[in-house]
Amino acid sequence: MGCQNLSGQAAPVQTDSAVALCCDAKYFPFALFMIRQIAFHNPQRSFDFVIATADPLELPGWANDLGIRLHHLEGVSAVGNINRFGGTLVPLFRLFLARSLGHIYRRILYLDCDMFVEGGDIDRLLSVDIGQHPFAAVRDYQQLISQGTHSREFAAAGLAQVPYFNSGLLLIDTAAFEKQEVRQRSLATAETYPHAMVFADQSLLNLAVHGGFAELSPAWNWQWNFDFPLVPLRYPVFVRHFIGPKKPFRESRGGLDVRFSQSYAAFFRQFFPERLAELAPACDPAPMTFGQVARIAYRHMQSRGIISDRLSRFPDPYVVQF
Amino acid sequence: MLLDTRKNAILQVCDANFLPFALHLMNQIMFFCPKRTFDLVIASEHELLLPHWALDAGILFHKMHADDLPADLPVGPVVRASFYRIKAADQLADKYRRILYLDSDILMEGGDLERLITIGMGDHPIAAVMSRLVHKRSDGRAPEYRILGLPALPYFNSGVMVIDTDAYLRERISDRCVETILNSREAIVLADQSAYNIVLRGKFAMLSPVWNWMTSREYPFATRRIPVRFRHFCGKFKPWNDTEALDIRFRESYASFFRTHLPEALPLLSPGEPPRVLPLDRMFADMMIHLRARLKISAGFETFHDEWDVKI
Repeated sequence: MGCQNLSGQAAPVQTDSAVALCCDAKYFPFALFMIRQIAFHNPQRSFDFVIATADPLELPGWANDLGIRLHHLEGVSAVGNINRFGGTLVPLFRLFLARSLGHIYRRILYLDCDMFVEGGDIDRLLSVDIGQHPFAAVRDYQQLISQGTHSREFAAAGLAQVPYFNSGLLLIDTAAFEKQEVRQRSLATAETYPHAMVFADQSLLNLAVHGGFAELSPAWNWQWNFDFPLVPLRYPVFVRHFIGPKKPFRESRGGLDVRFSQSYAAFFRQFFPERLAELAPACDPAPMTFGQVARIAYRHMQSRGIISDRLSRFPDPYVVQF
Repeated sequence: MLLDTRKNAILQVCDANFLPFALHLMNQIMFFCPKRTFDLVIASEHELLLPHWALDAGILFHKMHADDLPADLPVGPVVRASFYRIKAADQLADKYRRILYLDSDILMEGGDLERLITIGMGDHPIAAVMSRLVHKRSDGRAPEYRILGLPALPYFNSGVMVIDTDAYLRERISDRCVETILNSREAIVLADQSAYNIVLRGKFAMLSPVWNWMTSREYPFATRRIPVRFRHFCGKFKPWNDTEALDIRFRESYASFFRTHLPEALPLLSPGEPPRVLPLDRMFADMMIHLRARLKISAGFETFHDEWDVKI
């Protein structure tokens, strides 16, 4: 297994940090959608954008001004019984970023392509102190809303319950990541704990570091969009993550604010009109019924105490717990 | 017949106090409309200095002719700049065929403004959205109409207006507005908005409410489903001075913009509250308002087939 360090339409490397997204041709527009949002919120950025892919992608002309570096990854092969996400190997790409780009970048902010960027000073995030840890990340969905949840991976592997993160956003210290052999240890867990593979790369990484990560504020990887839409009304969220199969570009039942699907539709209409038909139509604009409002309110009432407690650990979104 | 080579423009009229907020909106428009063919114009009676990034991005400044409006304007709580928009279309008609005028206390959520600015509006000089004020009154009659003894005619909010400059000049809208301001002062309760509505008396092209959503505070649940394009923070609660009523992301949008583009404007933001979970009393209050207003929201919105439907 290996990866090649090719850079097709490379923008000149200017700094020691980058925002990196990994995708195939299918998710390429979504990666560009996010990069455009990040660029908007960070006009004086000093970091690069990298899209790591194994597909022969070409940047559209309009994206040239954004300074995106296309990084071609080759030789990433399947490990163990990892076959989630329709058999694609893209989720594993993030494990190889430190090895293939570590000679250029000291810090890499890896992001999944099903995220929606609402703000945040990314330069500042890229420079936060994460101690000796190979990366910083945000706790996974379940751990915000219930105390002491034993993650399925740790339970299946017979490991103790420790903090478990969502791997959709990783603030990687490339030197520590390589020095601590996180990639090799992660891939090895597929053989050591084959029955504990639940979420592809997320299972691998969590089993490998077993709680050994720096913890970021939930504002950077907000996964509670469906169940707790009222929390961000008073709690500023920077990066929303549409975890699970329900994405704003796939769902029309009104489970998410319509502004998300409208943003994707507008972007595709302007930049990828040939793929506009892939997006789900907008939801019915009729106001929510009593039952729908009551369901949201009930969940909010039920969990606000513990959510409040979790969020209070991060009064400053740029301070990391480790 | 001469070919009309005039372009279209998006216009904001403001003074120095509102310039940072106007620039925030212009920056949003540039993001949402990267392939625009229309100009972006900020106009003022004062000589405002636009920052370099705005000039580099192509935002134009138009100095209003100060002698176009009477010196003794009845300026109340609304600033004098509000009246200047009345004259802006006259002064820019030789350059622009259509003008989309926007107030500076507006936040953009998206939308195809190229299409909006060229929307069919019959022979009307102005297309706009019905004001929320009318819905709040039991007789559906705006105060201006009541003061002047007029019936309950349609009444629009002048924060978002598509202006056809030819029709605007042909119907002498600005002159008639100034005459109204001078002759019916008792009915000018909301600056230029009063003047426009008294002059037009309901004869305007009616746009979908998504183009001028005035109830962000009252109906926070509604916009989970309704695809709002422009949020207009009319009234006293603005994202930059509110710490409780509005969605925190609006304030964050201004904070982020000021931090990256206009750091000198950061003091305009009121101190933020520590992040916290929405309190239950507020949640129940919002729920009750939403449930009570459901039918009203539906009625107001379902009149329009889609965002491009115009009632002429």
